[in-house]
Amino acid sequence: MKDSDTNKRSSFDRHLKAWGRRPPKTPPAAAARHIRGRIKEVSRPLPLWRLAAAAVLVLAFSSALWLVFKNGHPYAPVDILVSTPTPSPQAFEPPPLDDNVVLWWLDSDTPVYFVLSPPENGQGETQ
Amino acid sequence: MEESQSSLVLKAREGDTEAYGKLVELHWERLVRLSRSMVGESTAEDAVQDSLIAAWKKLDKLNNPESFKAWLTRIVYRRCLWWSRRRRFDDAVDDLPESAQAGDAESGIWVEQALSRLAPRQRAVLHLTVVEDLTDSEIGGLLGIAAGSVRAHRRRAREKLESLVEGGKR
Repeated sequence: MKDSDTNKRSSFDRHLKAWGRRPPKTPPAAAARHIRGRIKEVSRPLPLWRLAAAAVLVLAFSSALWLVFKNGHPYAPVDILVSTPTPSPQAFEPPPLDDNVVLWWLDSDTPVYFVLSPPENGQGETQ
Repeated sequence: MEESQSSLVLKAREGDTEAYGKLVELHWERLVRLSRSMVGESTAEDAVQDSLIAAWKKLDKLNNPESFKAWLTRIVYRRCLWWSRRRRFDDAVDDLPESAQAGDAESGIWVEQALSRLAPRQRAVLHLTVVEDLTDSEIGGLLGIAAGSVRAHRRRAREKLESLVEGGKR
């Protein structure tokens, strides 16, 4: 390379260095304040893997619900047979009893009548 | 005791805006200098601010906090390439004086005019070589290009500048 070329290159480099090393118009601290203010307004996008995982969960839940309810509600009300209440012994009014008849209640549903016979018969009847 | 840059990066990655502000302070001047050489004086700081906002959004993708400087520089470099495709370099004029006249202002104009005739990648490489005194491998690491590409860009930049100074327009 000729000396003149080297001189021109050196001259350009000197000027480039001087021009390039000037400080910015905005000082670093002011720039940092400005950037902090701007990034507070900016929300970071959710990572792609989180969005994908959320989508998979929603899909799985929806599919599960669809499968469960496909053939009708699993918890449809069942017809429950309501029976009439068993009359309690207190509510049941036995027919008038003869003098030789005794009514015993084995349980709330089972009355037993003892018919007492006079001693000369030797046996009584039960109903 | 000052926090290490890696520690600031980790905090910023968790959403700490104060930590990110400290990182901005550490790198602001260097990034504006590079941006100025690539897109010109008037848009340099806007380009860097845009880059810093974009970097904040992508900070969770930075796997190694130690490589924050190179990662951030690459973002600024690519953003400046994008800007330079859409905007004309400052002070790009047809007439290029042969050399700088006396005085900083005139020499600055001369430098900007010379840079405006180069491709954006050539401007970046020339800036990092001359202004920041970096080696080819350091420049390649910052810009994400091979050292051979760095040399090629610089050689083409020099050839272009020499032809311009000698009066030819290409």
